[in-house]
Amino acid sequence: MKNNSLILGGLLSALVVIAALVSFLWVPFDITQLSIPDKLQTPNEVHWLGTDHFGRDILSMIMIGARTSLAVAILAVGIGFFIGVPLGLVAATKKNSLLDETIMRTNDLIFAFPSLVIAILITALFGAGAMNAIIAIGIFNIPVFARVSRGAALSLWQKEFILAARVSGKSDLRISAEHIFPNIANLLIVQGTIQFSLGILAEAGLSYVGLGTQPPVPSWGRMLADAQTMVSFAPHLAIIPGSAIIVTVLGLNLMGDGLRDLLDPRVRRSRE
Amino acid sequence: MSILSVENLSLKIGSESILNNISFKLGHGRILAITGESGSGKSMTALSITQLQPKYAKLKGKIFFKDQDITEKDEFELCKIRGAKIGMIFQEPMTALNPVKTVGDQISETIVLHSEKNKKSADTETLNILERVGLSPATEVIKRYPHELSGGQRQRVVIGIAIALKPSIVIADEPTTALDVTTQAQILALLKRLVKEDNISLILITHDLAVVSDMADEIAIMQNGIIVEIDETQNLFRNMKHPYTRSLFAASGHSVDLPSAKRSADLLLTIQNVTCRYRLARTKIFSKSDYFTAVSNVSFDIKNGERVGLVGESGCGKSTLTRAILGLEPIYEGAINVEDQDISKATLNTRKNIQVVFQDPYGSFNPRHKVSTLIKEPFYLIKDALEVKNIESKIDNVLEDVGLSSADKNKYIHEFSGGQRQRIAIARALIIKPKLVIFDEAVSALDVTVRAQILDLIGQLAVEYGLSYLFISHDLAVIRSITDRCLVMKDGKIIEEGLTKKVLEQPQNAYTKTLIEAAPKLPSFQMEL
Repeated sequence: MKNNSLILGGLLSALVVIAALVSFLWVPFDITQLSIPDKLQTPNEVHWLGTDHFGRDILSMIMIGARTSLAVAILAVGIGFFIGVPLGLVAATKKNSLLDETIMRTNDLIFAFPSLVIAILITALFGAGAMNAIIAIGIFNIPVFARVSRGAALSLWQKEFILAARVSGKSDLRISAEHIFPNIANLLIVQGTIQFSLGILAEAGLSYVGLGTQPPVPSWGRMLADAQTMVSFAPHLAIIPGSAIIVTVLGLNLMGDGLRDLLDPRVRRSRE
Repeated sequence: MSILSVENLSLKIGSESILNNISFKLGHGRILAITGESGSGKSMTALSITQLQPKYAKLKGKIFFKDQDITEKDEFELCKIRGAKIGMIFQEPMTALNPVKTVGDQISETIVLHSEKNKKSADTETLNILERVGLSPATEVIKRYPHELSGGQRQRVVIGIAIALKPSIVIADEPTTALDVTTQAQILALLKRLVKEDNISLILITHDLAVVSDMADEIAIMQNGIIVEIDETQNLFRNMKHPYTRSLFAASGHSVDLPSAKRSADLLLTIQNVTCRYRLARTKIFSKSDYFTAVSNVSFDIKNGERVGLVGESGCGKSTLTRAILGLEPIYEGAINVEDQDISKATLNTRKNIQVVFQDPYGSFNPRHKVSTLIKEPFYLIKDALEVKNIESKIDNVLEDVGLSSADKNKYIHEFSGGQRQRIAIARALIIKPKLVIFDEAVSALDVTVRAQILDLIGQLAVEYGLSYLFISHDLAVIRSITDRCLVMKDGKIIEEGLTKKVLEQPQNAYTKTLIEAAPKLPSFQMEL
């Protein structure tokens, strides 16, 4: 049986990534130019996805919005990965020590707050903007990666090849880097794609309430917010950015599922 | 008349032939043993009899149970036969029982499922069954959960479920492999008694010829999906027509030709009054922690060139002691010295004198590294690892020493069999030429013929490399064949120590005596090889 979810998920995600990359070189219309006479057009042969209330081309805005969404999500997942994974690995080497307890309980503390509310708090305190949104989303990715990597590492530490490495005099840090990390990389890749899609949702949510990317840089969340008052006579203003979010998140989730199946030998065998 | 008759049974998975034209008959109240090494198809034969073979397997041939062909029955009819007419006993009693149900419920469930009885009368019957399998009602086992019982007790419960409905056939797949020798002896005696009392026909599947010789009326020897020889037990051992039977028998009683080693008076390892303990989980949040003492006041030493064995059953503290010697486990009291250096404070230079070979040939290697990376790992113990000269030629040499080829260094570990992996583990331990190697149950997971080869290899390399070793095992036969001196451990203490031959032939301690008596032995009515 072929891995259909990986193929479909990969295609959807690739579509979004390509749109974002192309937007650096070319977009159908310049979105900094307002053209009121063209406002609120439904999709037609000139403006493929129609225009908004300022007469800007929606396709162009979606393409540039993809760039923003991806950038925010990549950086936010990166923060979570590069801080969370080392924390988790260190906690696993010092199981049940004060350090382990401190790391994991701090994680629990962060987990206990609703992430979007805290993100709103952070952006409200330090000002709205893409950078603060990245930091806010990134902070909530740290405990996710820390927990996943600690749990997986703990079971590996019981393996005999780890004991053999310890007998060889390797330090805990070295064992974590050489033996533990490569063996949990699968899990982290899968978790990464899932966090990535959550990051895109969070960015859209923050922009929707006006705390994410600031105008004039377009963002899917703010396009939704702008469309709110006009949804009764121009529904495509809401449907198009909404669909963009759905396609991206669905694509990434499918890809995560597919990757998990591909990388897990037990699932792979049962499919054969 | 036979109760079960298997005729020309063949089983294929994909294009691979697992069973090939198997035929045998099982008589009323008889015990048939199917024995062979791993991959010989003995478990698959058992699964086929109950039609529990994997769905993608293709089965040919006929299996008659009381004149009805089982292979033609549908799932509904099969469910009536399984459990009620044919009982099964599995190897690992912990996974064969449901951990969230009491054992009483699990037995009465079988009774309710297959008979008209209600829950209440099933419960009374459960009590009787538990008593029959040697679990007296006074212990209230009926209300306990599997994790609250010992391994032997759990296996008794599994046997109870298998015999609950007085089946005509019981299939026992390696029923004692996961148990200690003393428990194994009790479980085998129990099985023998029950089979006789209820006139059950038993199919006993095991890799251990010694277990079989004492139990079975008839033995089938399997190799690569074929029954190579099947005969009455006495006749089989007397005649041994097939060469494979002979090699299996020879390997089971294999004795390593240990050359006498040059021994010196220098102490290599000294262990003085060592105690190791673990903190147990707290019962209440602010209560004081309790401690479990795994190793208590153990002292012994190993001189240069000595080959020492350590015998004990599971839970006796062998593993904790091994880790303490390797410096991986904190010591609560006492001291472990390697060449007069405390192991807990030892420099890499001292630690390079000790290496280890573990039991599990599958878990001892990082699956993502090549063999060359794996076996050069101990070079981290030598300062300036990168400057150690000729690493590549050392890898080649050590691989050839353990009987592999130097081309194997570029392969990954999953390309090797269990025995080959154990050779690689030995190569990893020997590459930096340590003085002491600890073999922690290093041959327990291997088949008898492979085990014999690995033991020979260890004996030979010990001389070539001038090694001392500590060989830890639960298997007295292994200890007898590979060590000069041995220690017997129980409940964290060394209870007997002396020359291997003397300890095993004239044991002083009562526990050592039971251990030796419980160990299954090959029959002595052996023919001339």
